[in-house]
Amino acid sequence: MARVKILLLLSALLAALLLTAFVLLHPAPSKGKTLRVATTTSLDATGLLNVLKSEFEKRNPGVNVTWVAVGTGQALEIAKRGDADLVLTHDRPLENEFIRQGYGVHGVSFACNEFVVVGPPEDPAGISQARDVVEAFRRIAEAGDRGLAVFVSRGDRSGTHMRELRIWNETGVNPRGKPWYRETGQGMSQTLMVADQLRAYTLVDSGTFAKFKERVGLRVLFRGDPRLLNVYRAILVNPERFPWVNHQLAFEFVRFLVSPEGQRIIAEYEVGGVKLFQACFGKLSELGVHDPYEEEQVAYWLSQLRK
Amino acid sequence: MDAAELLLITGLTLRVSLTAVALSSALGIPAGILIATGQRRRKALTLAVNTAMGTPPVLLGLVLYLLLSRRGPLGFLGLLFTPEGMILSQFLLTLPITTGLTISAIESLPRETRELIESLATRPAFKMLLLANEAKLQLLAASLTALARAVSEVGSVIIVGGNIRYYTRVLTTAIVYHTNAGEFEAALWLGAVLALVYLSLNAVVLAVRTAVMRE
Repeated sequence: MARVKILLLLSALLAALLLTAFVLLHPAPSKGKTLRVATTTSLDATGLLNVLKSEFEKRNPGVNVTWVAVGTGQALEIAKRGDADLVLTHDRPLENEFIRQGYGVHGVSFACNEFVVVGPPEDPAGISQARDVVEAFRRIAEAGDRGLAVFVSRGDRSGTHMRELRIWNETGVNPRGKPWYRETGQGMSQTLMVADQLRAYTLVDSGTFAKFKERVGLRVLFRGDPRLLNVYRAILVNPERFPWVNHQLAFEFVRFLVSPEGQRIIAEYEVGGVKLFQACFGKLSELGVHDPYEEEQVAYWLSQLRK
Repeated sequence: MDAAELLLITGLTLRVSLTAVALSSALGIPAGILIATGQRRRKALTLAVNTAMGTPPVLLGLVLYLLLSRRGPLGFLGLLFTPEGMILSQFLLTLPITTGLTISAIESLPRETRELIESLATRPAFKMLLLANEAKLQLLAASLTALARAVSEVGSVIIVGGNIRYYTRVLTTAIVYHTNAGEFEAALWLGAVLALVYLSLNAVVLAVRTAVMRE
């Protein structure tokens, strides 16, 4: 009897070992063929990255594009630890620092749209009449102090949050800790839903909002200030700093993004009949951004495209 | 999300949690028996194991993230944002559960049984097997409890796995993703699949239990 038990236990142990072996030997996507991107949430939430993924994989059989969708600040932190091959982010000051510190190389802008201020249709702070976004934010603060308005902030060091903080900085109002200022610490879509529930104002990129506007009762109340230009940039993680990154594949993917084909996909991508992005490789100066580094890199990528 | 993706997500959920619990049972049950029958430091070890049972998954996830990150001490393994990394996190999370529940299962055996086994068995390995055999139903329940935790856990797998579509997205993290995206219907369906998965696992265990009892 005892012998049967021992046999049973041994076979159970064997089964567990086999299962382990199966898992450990499970064909993981081979290293050279997987691209790991740390991306800002909006490119994932709008579905653009998924389209770019399938087009790129169609052109490069056997390649697998994977990504973690997090805020810009976190995406750059992931890359700073060498855990991604490529970052797609949208906050120039944070990106410039990332490049200056030697973590990233050949950063180039590939898509853009705008930030918009959304809020309840009644617009209790009257921001739709504001001359610029600084005045709009000041009106929200004033209405907030009178208990008429609430502002919901991402509060997560994402590109949107950093932009919002810089606008508050220009207004001279410090919203931190004010009863009308709520920080969610979460992604854009969740923050939109919180803002919807609280009948509050928030800053959002036009792409994510276009995707979500059917599901929330918020309206675009202010747009059009040049301060609200939203530029997405791709930056390769420096292979000299992190020798294990898949630099080759990251390079190929960015070359695809800035190629006429990639730019066409970005410009034509639409959700519900609305185009969400503008292709803007090499067009940044037309949009009012003058950055010598950008011009240098546009020249670099143009030379790579010609090859 | 289509049926193929749902199948992929469900398959990964099963692969990660079943492997993790198989490993944590294989290690935790013998460890639990050793602790329960050991003379030295039994109380301190039991206290330590029981405390570890309450580890917040997000804390474990954060620690593992820092360890497994390329800049971390275990970075050379390249396990961050992979299913294998998720298995490691679920293994560490469920190990105190299998160990702790084994300790209490062995301790709750009748004194006479334990004394009889003590006097019968000369070799420690044989003694362990006899004890495990006496407590087999409780040990099965211990593994099942660990499995329940592994299948339904989200805090550490989302940090260690990164919730990468088609690669490290499991049922719970998919629910988080679709809830965040406001796609509540998809999230609810995923929840139903999760419940179904756990129901079938339970049914299998029930069948095994009945078979063992009949014996």
